[in-house]
Amino acid sequence: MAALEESARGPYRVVVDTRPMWRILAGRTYRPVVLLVGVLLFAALYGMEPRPGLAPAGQKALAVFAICMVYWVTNVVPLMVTSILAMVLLPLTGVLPATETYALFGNEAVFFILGAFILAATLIKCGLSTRIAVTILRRFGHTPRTLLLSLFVMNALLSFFMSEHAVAAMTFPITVEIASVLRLRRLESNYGRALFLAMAWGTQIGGIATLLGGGRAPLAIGMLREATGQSWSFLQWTLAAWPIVAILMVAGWQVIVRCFPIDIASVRDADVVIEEKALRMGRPSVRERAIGLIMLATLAAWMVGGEDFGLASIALGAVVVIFAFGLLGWSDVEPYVNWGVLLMYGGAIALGSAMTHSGASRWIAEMTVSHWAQSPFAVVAIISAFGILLTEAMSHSAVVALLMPVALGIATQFHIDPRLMAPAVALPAGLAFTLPVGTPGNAIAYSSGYLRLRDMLLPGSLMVAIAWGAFNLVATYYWPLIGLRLSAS
Amino acid sequence: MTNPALLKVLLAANGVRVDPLLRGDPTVDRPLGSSAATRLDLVLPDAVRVSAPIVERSPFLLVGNGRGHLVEGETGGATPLRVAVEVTPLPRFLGRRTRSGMPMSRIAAVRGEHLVLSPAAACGFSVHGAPCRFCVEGARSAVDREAAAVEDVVEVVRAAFEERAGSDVYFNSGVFDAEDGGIGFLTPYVEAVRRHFDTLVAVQVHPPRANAWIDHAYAMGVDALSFNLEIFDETAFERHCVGRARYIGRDRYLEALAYAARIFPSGTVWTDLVLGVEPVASTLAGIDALTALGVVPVVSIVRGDHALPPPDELGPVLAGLYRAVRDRGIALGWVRDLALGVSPLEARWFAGDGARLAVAMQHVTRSRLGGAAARTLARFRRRLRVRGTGDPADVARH
Repeated sequence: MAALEESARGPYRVVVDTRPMWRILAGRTYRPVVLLVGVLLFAALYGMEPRPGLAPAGQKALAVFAICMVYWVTNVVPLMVTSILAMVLLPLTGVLPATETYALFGNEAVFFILGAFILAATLIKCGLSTRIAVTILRRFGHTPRTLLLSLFVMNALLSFFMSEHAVAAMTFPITVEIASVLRLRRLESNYGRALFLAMAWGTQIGGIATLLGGGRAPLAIGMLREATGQSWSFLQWTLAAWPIVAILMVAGWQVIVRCFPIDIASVRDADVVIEEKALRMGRPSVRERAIGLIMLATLAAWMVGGEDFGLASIALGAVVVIFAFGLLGWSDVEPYVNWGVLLMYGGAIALGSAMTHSGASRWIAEMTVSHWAQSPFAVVAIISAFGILLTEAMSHSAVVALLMPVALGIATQFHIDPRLMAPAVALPAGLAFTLPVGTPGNAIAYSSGYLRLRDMLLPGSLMVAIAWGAFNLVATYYWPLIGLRLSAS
Repeated sequence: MTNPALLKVLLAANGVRVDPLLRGDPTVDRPLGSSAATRLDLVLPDAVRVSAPIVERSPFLLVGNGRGHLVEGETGGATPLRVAVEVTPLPRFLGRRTRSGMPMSRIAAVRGEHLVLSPAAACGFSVHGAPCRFCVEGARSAVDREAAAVEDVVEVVRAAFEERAGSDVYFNSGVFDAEDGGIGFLTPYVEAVRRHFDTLVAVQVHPPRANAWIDHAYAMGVDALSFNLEIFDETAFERHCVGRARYIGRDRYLEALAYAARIFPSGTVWTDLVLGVEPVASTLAGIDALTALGVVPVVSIVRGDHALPPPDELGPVLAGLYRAVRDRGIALGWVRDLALGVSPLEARWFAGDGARLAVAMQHVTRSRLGGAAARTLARFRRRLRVRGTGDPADVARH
């Protein structure tokens, strides 16, 4: 009987790995080896006499930072679990009391991100974000060039107000549909490649423009606030970031159209699809209008009253208003709130605070960047280079969690305004152009099947270089104009 | 004769007479009427094993010398043949019945270290009236019996292992007319054996229609796999292997063998090539083609209408078998102790190569400690290589 059941069920759903055994073994032992390396590094640093210039609490904080760094960089456990580990180890090692550690989880940045998640969910759920996308494409996308440009700009614009990952996920089906009706051949069509690169790059470039494009900027600000008590307003951040966004939008467009010259003559078929979508949506509903109004009011409040009332309070206030008017149910929102990311940020902020207050971040700065950099400009150049390179292979937030404590330590040493370290870390950490693993936006674009790896690698490398140069030019020449000086006056 | 592999070929092809003086010798006497009564399992020098048919007319005679047994005969050489051999006594368990009343000998046979289990009713091709033309056993199989119960098979294996009759299990499936080529039929038996015993498992089945069944076979615990092609030449294959050609096809055999050779460890996927049914050149071409796929060819001998090739052709074929497997870097030691087939390592005698490393490795794996190490390694390798694809139950099963 058992035989019949097995036979009726078909073969086991298994895959047999046929790679050489040494490769399989290396792959399988990687995780336990890395886990062990992290533990050994922690134990070694913890058991060691404090390094010269480092207090005992700093030495212990360094041990916690080391194990978290290994796990964040290698991703052997989920990023949020590493953050939880940090929150467990900080009180256990005596670096911070338990009450203080867990209180840091209640940082404003964490709640701001929670509010931003819910607001983004509201936009997606009511269809307003799709309407904005379709409207832009319908209004401007009538030739191959304007359609591509509209898609690029539309993704960037939406990422000003929503998480760039959510924007990529939302606009991906539209982009796929456009590519499909235009009968673009996978891996062959220049226009197909350009469309998906425009989608991925648009979301990334737009994502650094405001505090809403992702969790990096709020995380960096949260760590800054816990370490120094200083912060950034919504408007100040946007003011500091916009020239970089403008340069990268122009550069990104040029790179896309030069690397992938447009090879189709008409987008009439795509017009039809976009028109159909617009017709299917009909007129904006009352709910959409109401949510649109609340979003505009929230944006205005962030700009005008962000410093006085706090960004998180405004975001959560908007959330309360949305629910109070019954515009959304909790079950609508829940799938869009990434609780794991919130946990990750809470732990990273606690660790960053412990590193700064114990003197460990300053000590790391003295041991590393101080040897290489001779001026504040060089410091920012090195920090931004690390950020932009690490983010190609690591989560954006993990890069911020890793670099921010060190950057704050360096700032003290070089008498740089520590506030500058938040954008110096968070802006480059949001720009991963070359690899699919760099950011979900890239991965989504790559999954379309229109892009080969080299289609991303070569133009992406060019964009990385441009982005780094643009960031440093803006930091050196533009930021002083708005009152942000690198060198101590 | 210094070539035990040649003696194996000659004994398998010609059979052996038994000296009437050996009547009453408990190691030689076989119960009348049983299938075991028609054969003698002999261990030749260098631990080469053969299952020699007991016949009335043969150039070879088994005699006793007080201390053991000898095979005497004329092989055309200068001096008559006189070689000391060991007669493997019939295991006692084969005379017993399972608790359900089934004779254990109907399910099992012992060939060297292999406990050969045939839980199926009969050869599927014979049932469909399309046995291979050269096949003696399949054509005579009873078709009116049911497949053995899993519990009976487990009982037989336990009885055999308690008697130390065989250390590895070798399943034979007669089922072919299914999507799975008989692998699905054998699944509960293999799973039960793996659950109850620490042993290596080999299966001889037919190519399934989907390669996923080959993955399934490896995942469920099969250590070695055979799809018997029998004949390489396309025309001879269609003429002699009627059922194989009609229901499966030569190309599918080759495809499935090639795929299995990628899934299973080196040297554990084999196929028989029958000697004498097709031209020698064709057998040699088959050896080359199969080894290029990573498959171990085994040259098998059948009695009947098909004469062995003359000695000046036989030697090069078997030497070519050894060299082809060696030169392709395929592991030589896993396919061994075949009753009627010459393994590549046995064929080294024809190539004049000692193959010392492979022979030493085979000695190690024959030892109790070496066998345990081989089984552990096989399990470990399987755990590393097999991954589930979504159904947690599948992952948990292996």
